[in-house]
Amino acid sequence: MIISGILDKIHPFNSSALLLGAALFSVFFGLSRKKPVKIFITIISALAFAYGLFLNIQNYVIGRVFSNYLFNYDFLQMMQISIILFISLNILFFISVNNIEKNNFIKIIIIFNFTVFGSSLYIMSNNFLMIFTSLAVFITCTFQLISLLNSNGNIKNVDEYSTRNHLIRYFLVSAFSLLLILAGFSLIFGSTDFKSFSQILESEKIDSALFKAGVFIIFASIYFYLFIFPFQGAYIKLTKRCDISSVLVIWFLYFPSGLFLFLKLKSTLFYFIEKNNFYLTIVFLTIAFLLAVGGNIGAVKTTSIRRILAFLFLSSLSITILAVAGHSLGIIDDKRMDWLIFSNLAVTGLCYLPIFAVFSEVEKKYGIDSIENIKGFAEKNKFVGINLIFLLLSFGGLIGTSGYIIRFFILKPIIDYFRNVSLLKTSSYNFILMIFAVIIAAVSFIFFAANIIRIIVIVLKKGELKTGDLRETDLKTGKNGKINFSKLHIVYITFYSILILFLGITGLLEIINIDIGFFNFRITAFF
Amino acid sequence: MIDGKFVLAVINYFLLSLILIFGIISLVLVDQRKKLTFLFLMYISAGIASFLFFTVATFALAGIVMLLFFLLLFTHVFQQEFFGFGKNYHNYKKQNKYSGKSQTNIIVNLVLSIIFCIFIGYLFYRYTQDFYKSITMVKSFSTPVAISILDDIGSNYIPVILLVIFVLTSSFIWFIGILPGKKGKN
Amino acid sequence: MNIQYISYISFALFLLGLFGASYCRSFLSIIVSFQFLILSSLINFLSFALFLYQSLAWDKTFIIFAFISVYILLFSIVFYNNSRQTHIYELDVLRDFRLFKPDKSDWWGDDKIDDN
Repeated sequence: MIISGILDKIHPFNSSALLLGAALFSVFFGLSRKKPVKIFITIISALAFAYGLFLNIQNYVIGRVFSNYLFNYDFLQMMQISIILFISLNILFFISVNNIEKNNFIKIIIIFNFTVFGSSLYIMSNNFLMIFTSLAVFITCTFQLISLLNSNGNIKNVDEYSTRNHLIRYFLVSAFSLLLILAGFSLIFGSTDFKSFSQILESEKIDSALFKAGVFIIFASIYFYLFIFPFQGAYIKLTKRCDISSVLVIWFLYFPSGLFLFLKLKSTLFYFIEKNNFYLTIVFLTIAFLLAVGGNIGAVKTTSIRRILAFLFLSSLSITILAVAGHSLGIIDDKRMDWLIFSNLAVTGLCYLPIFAVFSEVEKKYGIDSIENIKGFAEKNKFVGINLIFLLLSFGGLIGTSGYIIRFFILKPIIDYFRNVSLLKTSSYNFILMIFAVIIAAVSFIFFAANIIRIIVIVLKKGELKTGDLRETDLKTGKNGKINFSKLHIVYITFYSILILFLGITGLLEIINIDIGFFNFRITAFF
Repeated sequence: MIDGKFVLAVINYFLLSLILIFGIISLVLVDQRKKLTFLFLMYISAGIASFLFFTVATFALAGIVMLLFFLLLFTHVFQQEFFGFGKNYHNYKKQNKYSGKSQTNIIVNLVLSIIFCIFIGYLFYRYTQDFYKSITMVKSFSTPVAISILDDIGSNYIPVILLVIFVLTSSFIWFIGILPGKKGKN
Repeated sequence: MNIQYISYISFALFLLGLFGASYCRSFLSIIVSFQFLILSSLINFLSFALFLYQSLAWDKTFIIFAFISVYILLFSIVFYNNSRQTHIYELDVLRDFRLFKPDKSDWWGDDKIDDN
């Protein structure tokens, strides 16, 4: 009763309060190096994430939206926080598996909890001051987390020196984008003293030149923040060199915060799209093209698994931008656009987490990150290999998988447009833009699928064990190059394969209008 | 007619120009210590300009944080300058000319950056001219006193204060964790 | 005092920061460029508040909290760099930290771990 009373009072910050509580509780154990204490702290944090996720969904389901001067909590915020908490639970798993032997493990967990706490406040923030401060705090905590994950005391070799440099460079770019956001807000202040985008939308100040300049600078900052081509250098270099868990923090905590900032500016963007949809559509299609081509070419030309995944991650952002371009063209409505953005993020997370679990174990066993290490992987590790191939196919968009559903909802409106269009009635500019959209979508999906097939072919190929290397391979991996995955890993990978399969089949049945009556909601329905 | 407002305007533009000039010098100079000197002079000019904007209290409150940052930056730079191994050798090396390819890269980089900045500046100038013609300025300047600012923070922005406290806590824990061991050097 | 001229001077400072962030190689130069961006925003906030609004406290609050949060981030980055010094001048000071460096390995092919 007392606890539920407290939770009622602090709504909608229940999940944030749990994370903060877990972080502050862990502070008391911060200096301990004993393994049982580390396991205890990990369990406390995991419970905080899990219960926070449950509370977050429950709060919304019982119909409790919230809005005040600083914060706003609605369906979108609930979805964003749920995604972040779910992914954080997974990242906690990776951090624990890979770093539990470190002396500063508990400090890492504390800062990780603070990072996710900062992220949850940032998602709910509505006021400019709150948005900026919480984003700055989130970036600071992310930097502290990643630097701590990659900290091995003094710099002992070139690798650590290189990691330090690229870590600094990466976060200098993040700081630069943060300062651009500050500059954008200062210009917006020149046009109006309103404190949130929703207030400005309802006033005539939205047409002010300074407001437009400020919003333009903020969108430019999001471009740099997400390391979109041609500014991807620092991101690609860091993901190659940093610790395994850091890569997941970058992909699934850092990048989503950029997307969430874009969603905060969504209404403003829609207003400008109504006025200038031709030029804005060209901009979005260009960005989608850069991401699709740059990401896929980068992935196909490299032999490092991490670089392949890093490039493919950027390439998957092209689907998000295509959804925005589709809205700009008028063929995708705003709710479907939101659905596509969230689904793309969710599918990327659900596929990447288990795939990266496999590849990170391969990298740890062989000591180097090369695609040669997974040659013949499916032959030596049949069960994990099958799961891996299925996850890769899902990510690539095979029919009947979750990746396919997203591609379906991008292509369907385009196909419907061409079926129903009358050349006499439609604008020629719009028609040309639609053709470009089709070409970019086709390039993106086909090229992406080709990259995935390349990885699958290597996984299926017979590995060539040279006789001279055999003993070394045996020593590292066990008999005949087989990697012994722990039961935890196998359960983890299998769980995601089943989840992806289930979501894919449910989505496919919904697309072909077969109601199995399993849920009372549709996963392909927009909000 | 030279009156108080005119004098105020002249001093204001003079200080803003000083900020710009010190900034350019700071950016152009190669020597780290001189860079920091002119950066510090730029901030002193900004501090004096804050008097003209009647916002000394705000600048002072923000300035405490800036001061701590500059202390660290100065420590960092002086550590490199005084204890960096091989500095004299590299000062000698710098006197030799750059190779042709790296000189071309530097020039291309410089030209592209300048063109980009000029382009952005031109766009800003062109599209905001009308805005400045249409705005109505206040008849008399007034700024809130420090107490009202603190009242505003205390009544509306408690969550932000809490957020800052938590990030400071996180940073404290990070400082302890990130420092390398006492034994051994990098 | 004319708000338009002040705004243009502050935007010139912003462009200087933008130029420094895109061109400069050394760590200190990039940090200095960031200070220009911060100062430019500060001048914008203060000048707009003085010329356009009466006794507004919100912008002062924004400046205080924005400065605290941004400087904590910059402090962390500088502190990390400071704690990982090799004490070799060439490696610490002359290192190329350009934010946007065109490099073939960022687009295709492989890069070596020690490729700085």
